[in-house]
Amino acid sequence: MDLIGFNKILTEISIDFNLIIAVFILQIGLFFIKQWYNEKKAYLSNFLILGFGIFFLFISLSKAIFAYIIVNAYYYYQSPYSFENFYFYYLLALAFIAFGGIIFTFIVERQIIKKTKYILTLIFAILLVFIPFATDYLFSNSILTILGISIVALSFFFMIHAIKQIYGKVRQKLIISSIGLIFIYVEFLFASYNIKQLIENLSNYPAFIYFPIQLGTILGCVLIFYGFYGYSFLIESEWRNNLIALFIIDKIRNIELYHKDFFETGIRREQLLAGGIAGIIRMVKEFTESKKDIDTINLGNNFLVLTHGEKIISALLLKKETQIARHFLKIITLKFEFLFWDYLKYYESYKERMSQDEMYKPIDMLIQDIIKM
Amino acid sequence: MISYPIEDPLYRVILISIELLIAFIFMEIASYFLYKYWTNKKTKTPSTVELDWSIIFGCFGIAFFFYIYGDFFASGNRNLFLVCAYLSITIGGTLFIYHLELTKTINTHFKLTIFTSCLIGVFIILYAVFPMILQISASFISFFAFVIVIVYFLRVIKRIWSFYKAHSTGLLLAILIWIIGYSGNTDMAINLFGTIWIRILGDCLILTGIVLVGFFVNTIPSLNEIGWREKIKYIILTTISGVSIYSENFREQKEVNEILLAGGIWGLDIFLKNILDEANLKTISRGSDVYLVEKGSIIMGIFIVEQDLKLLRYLLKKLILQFEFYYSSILIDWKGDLNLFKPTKHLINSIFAYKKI
Repeated sequence: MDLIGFNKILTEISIDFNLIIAVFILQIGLFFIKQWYNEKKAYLSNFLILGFGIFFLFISLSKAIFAYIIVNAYYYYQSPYSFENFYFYYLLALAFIAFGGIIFTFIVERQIIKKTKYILTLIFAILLVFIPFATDYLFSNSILTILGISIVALSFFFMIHAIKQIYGKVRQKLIISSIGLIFIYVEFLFASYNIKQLIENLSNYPAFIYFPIQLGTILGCVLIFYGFYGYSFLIESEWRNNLIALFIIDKIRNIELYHKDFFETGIRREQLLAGGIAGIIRMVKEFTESKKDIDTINLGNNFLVLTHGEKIISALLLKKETQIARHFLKIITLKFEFLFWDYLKYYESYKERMSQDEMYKPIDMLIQDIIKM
Repeated sequence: MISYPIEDPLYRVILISIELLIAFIFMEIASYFLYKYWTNKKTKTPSTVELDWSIIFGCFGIAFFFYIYGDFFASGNRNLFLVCAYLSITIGGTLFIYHLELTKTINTHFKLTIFTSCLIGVFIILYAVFPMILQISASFISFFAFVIVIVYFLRVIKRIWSFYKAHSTGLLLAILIWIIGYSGNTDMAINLFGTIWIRILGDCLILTGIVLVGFFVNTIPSLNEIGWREKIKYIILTTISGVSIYSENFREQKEVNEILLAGGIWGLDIFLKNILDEANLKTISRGSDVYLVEKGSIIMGIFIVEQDLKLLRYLLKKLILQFEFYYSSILIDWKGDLNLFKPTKHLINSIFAYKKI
């Protein structure tokens, strides 16, 4: 097969790919809405993830309409503009983008950027009002450009905000998701009429450019899934509010070295808890003749997450178990042993010279730095 | 009679779009299961169900790419792409069946693996020597494959039926829709009904089927729920004051000192209740060893399992309820004779459907 024939096949597949991309974006929207629904059932309010879901839902509807226009134009008409009722479908697609934008902006302004006082939402609303009158190429294209730039900016603002909230593996996953988002927006850029014209003027085989970009969009959707899959975004992003208390226990001496309450707790006899935890871990280990240490105790309403260092056991009492809290606990354990190794090794001799509170006071700064309270 | 490649723009646009979508969704589902299998392999004991499903969905996805190319873009050598699609499904099916037989999901002692691997040769011979009967033979072979798929899913569903009735019914329905759709997609169906719309309908049914499979699989918290039986290591029943009254080792290499363990867990529960408000010990996790703790009114159940699954907790609760129903009168003035609780193994057998007693 020659290049012209191959270009023809790829062109047709690329045209049909538009619908697949619309379906994949729809899946992302439904995925976020499902996450919101699950959290709602657990009495957690997370409108950000709902907003992101609705936004993708509208984007997918818009993409489906564009796909309809492009497919019809390819099979039945010479140009999309000669397609019957072109402006009706085109403006409907624009209206869907604007609707999605309004909902998402409203939620973002309500929950994250309160300073803007709903001005961005208002801008989207004004654009929506103008859409029915945009029946010429220049006007409609300008609206599409403004909408496009706004949604790209807004969704990246959301992603950056989310990445800042989160640590560890979840942060890496969100960065991967952002790369996925870039892939999707690159496809949107290449789907615009002006860029298409430019590519068609520059290359005899434009499908060789479009096809990889569209495959990249599907990969982008997969990356977004990967980034948000396997954890609850809300619970992870709200990890600070789930912290109840931190205990650092001397593994050998069975004494509490440090403890911090993150808010008013229902814990009674904290010293007893520290000693008890160390004893229980040893006891369970002996009963089962296993070398493995206990890492989580589910207490019904709360969770006790444990990390075992060489000389200490760190225990974090949580309302909900999160990956970030576990990551946080690992850092605390490592840093604590690193900073206070001498105190841990020669505890008795240091204890005579200073109080325990003084010894381990610097860890407060580390905790505050990690949590940024 | 339909001529290939299909040139009519209306059929072309509808069929290419839907079938590409089907192929991509198959590949998406396959990647999803493979990813789950891969991550579980790193962290916990992997669920073989995930690998099985990844193989089967992946091979169907690849087959659809061959169908699309053969029916819409290949000029004159459609049979070559058809046979590639059949081979993809057969190789996938062979791997799938081999895996089922290896993990003893079906006890056919690799007979089915040998049979399906022979089909690879059969398809190549049919393509080379009898191309005229290639499709008709494939239709009969696919009928056999459908029977295996249905039997497999029936067995899978049987395992989770007690707790996931609605999900299981939905999943089975989705598989049936998928199979009906696949039948509508064949040349035989098109020739029988005399219209290509039957292929479009078939495609729509396949799409509906896989969307429903995705939906119902997603509503089950974890696919590991299907393999719950392999996750159980040890069962210990104690009185509410921590005295061990019955224990059964399912597959732990080392014997657990259940008397001390039961007392220890009881002690831990009491200790945590004294220290923390509203503490109610549910789970103790130690890597791949998870202790599920559930309390009844007079006894406490401890499951040592590989993973905290909803189904296992449900079964533990059920065991406690039934045990209390039968033994509550004995436990009131029990003098310490453990022989009284020996029939519990029958109770466990009825709840967990174990055949090992």
